[in-house]
Amino acid sequence: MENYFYIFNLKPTCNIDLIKLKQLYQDLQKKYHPDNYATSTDETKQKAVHNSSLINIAYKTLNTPILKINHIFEIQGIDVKNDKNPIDIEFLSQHITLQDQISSSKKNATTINAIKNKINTEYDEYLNNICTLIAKKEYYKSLSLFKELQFIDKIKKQLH
Amino acid sequence: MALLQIAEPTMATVAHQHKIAMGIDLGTTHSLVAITQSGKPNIIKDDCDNSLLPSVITYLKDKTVIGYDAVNLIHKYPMDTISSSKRMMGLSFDDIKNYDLKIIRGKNNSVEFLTSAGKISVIEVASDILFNLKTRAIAALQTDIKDAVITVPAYFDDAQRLSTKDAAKLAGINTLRLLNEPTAAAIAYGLDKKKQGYFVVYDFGGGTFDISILHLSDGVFEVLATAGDTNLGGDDIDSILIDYFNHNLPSHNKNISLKTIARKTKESLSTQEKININFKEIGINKKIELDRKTFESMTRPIVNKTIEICRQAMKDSGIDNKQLNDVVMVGGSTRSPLVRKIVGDFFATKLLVNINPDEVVALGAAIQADILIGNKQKNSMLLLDVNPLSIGIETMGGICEKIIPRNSTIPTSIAQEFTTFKDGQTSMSIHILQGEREMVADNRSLAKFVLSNISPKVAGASRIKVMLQIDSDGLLTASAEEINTKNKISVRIKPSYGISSDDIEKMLLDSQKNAKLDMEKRMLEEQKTEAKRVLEAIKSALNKDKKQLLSRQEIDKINKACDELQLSTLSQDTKDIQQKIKNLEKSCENYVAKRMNKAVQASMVGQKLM
Ligand SMILES: Nc1ncnc2c1ncn2[C@@H]1O[C@H](COP(=O)(O)OP(=O)(O)OP(=O)(O)O)[C@@H](O)[C@H]1O
Repeated sequence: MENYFYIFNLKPTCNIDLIKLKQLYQDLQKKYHPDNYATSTDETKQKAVHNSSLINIAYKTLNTPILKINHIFEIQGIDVKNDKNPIDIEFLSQHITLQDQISSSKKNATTINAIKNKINTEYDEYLNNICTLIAKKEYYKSLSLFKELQFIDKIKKQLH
Repeated sequence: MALLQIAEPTMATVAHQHKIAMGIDLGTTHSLVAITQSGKPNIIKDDCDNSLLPSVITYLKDKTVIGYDAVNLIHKYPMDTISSSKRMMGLSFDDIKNYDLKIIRGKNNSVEFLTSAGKISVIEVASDILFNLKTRAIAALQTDIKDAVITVPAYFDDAQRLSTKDAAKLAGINTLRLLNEPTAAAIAYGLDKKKQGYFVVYDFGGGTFDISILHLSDGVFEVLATAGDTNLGGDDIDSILIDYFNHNLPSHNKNISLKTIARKTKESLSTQEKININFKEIGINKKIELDRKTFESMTRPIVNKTIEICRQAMKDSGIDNKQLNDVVMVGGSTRSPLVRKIVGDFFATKLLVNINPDEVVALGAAIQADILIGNKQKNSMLLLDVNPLSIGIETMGGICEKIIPRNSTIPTSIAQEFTTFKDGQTSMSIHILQGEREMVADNRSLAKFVLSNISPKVAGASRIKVMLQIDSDGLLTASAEEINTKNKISVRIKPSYGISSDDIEKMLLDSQKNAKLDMEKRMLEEQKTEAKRVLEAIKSALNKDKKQLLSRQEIDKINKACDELQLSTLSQDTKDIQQKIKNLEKSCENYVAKRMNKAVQASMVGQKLM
């Protein structure tokens, strides 16, 4: 199991400074990008491709909240995809209704904007709560919230 | 796997030694080579002081002619002169839409040209151009040069990029990096030194139009959108002028080419307000006066076509004009004041035009080459590209599952697990695709390979991990392994119609021998092509009017001759094919006469039948 936090010498926590992360990412790429090894042996070049790929994937994972939290679960040995606990019925019916509203009011900018605001606020709240729980190592409690967050994220993308 | 230990780049040990690497723009109509000297990129010219090398080659029995000299031979040896072959780079024979007599189906479905010097593959043509440019650079700098950055269009897929790299290898050139043309143009203007911004690269050349929208943020160049038309360029403006001349000149032999005069007229009107065109040199005693205003009103529709494409690309990129920082102008046709005016108005942004638009791509490539070869301070710049198209794998039901989405920063590698779907399954076929569509059939197939010797278990119990890796040139490698076993297979993706690396090695060694032509084989291919042409012509004619013009018996007779010819093309007997073509022509004599009559009558009645 790869730990992407270690690549940047960071502790596996939810709250990472994204500006600092970007700086670390660029420093690493400047060192390992294959362009630096354009005249080296094939073996070295291959190593550079490997390292540079890994750095790109690690950066994308830690820079995207959903992927980052999923990765933290992975590190804890928690399999999010195959978790059998169902999502709360109340939550589901509320959000499916929202989805229906979005598709039926395609042209209506005010309705869409209202939904956007609601979803964005909700998204931030969820992120906050999950991170607080993870900081307290209450992984299983945060897992059910995370599954709901994935649902919210889907709607958010739909609105984009 | 964590990060691997890598020794310092080799250049650290030879920091004082100045190395030389080329930047090469391998273009559809023109190619160029540039080299950075004393920190400044320069175009390398040939003996006659030409910067551009027309991407045209004439392959004759005893010699190969390239560049301007080949352009002069187009009329004399139309079948042996190859131009614009970049349009066929990385395509299979079946991808070719315009039927061209020069082209034949080569080994593994590749595209080959049939010339007096024998069969020439598209990769060999590109390689000959690259070799000529390399020789030019070596002669100018009096030192051996092997390394180069070669530019490719941003939309080039895996097969097209790989073919370009293969051509370089065949020319004895080590490719330091394949660089996207718009990115190269942006580097030439030093845009990579900015912190961030959005840039348009508008490339209007002789035969093609491309637009790319780039986003730069902290050293990462991302192609947000690219669009274009591979049949829209300065040539279309020339055609409008030719029509205008034909209309205004006294009746003359229509075979006389007005193309050169048209092009000169157009280029002069970029700097002059009004010109007098003299047709004396082609034997017509007349002058035509043309002013820029009239010229521009005639040619405006062509330029407007490019704007429509720009509009689409801007829409795809999701940004608006207000966010744009600069528009980089590339390609000879952007010298036209009308083009500049219309483009400037559309984007409402500053146009960058200081650098010669034919040279800007090669210059950018030379700057990048100088950095990669190690002359610039290490870590001074970081240029990250993205992959232009998604990579996916075929799953049940003909669905393409995307594994690496488009616009992922490269290099990148991703692993995905699959399971067996049948009890006792011992092999799994892995089909790799490139493209954005849902269905396998709508995407481009890159490769198929099989992982065998899977330990037989119940369906879903064996787990197979497929790994895809894209390197910094955008080239793909795939591997598959059965988890918890040593069973593994790894392949460098080669389009099935490309050439294998063994072939390339062999071609390198045999290049002398290959140059000799095999007359027999060539004749055979020619006759086969001719047979194909005749058969197609007759079949399409028959489909149109056999019922009106021919009796049953006559139709049967022609069909029989067709069948015999078809059969003979499967043999290797040139004489026999020739004979069968004659037979067919003979059995069609009566039919041809009837068709002629009909056509003559029709023309007298009027043009209703058309
Ligand atoms: N001063 C000028 N004014 C207008 N058009 C010009 C001028 N100079 C060159 N051109 C046109 O530019 C075209 C050639 O452009 P360029 O050399 O960039 O083509 P290319 O990039 O090799 O072609 P392609 O884009 O098809 O690969 C020709 O049509 C030429 O007539």
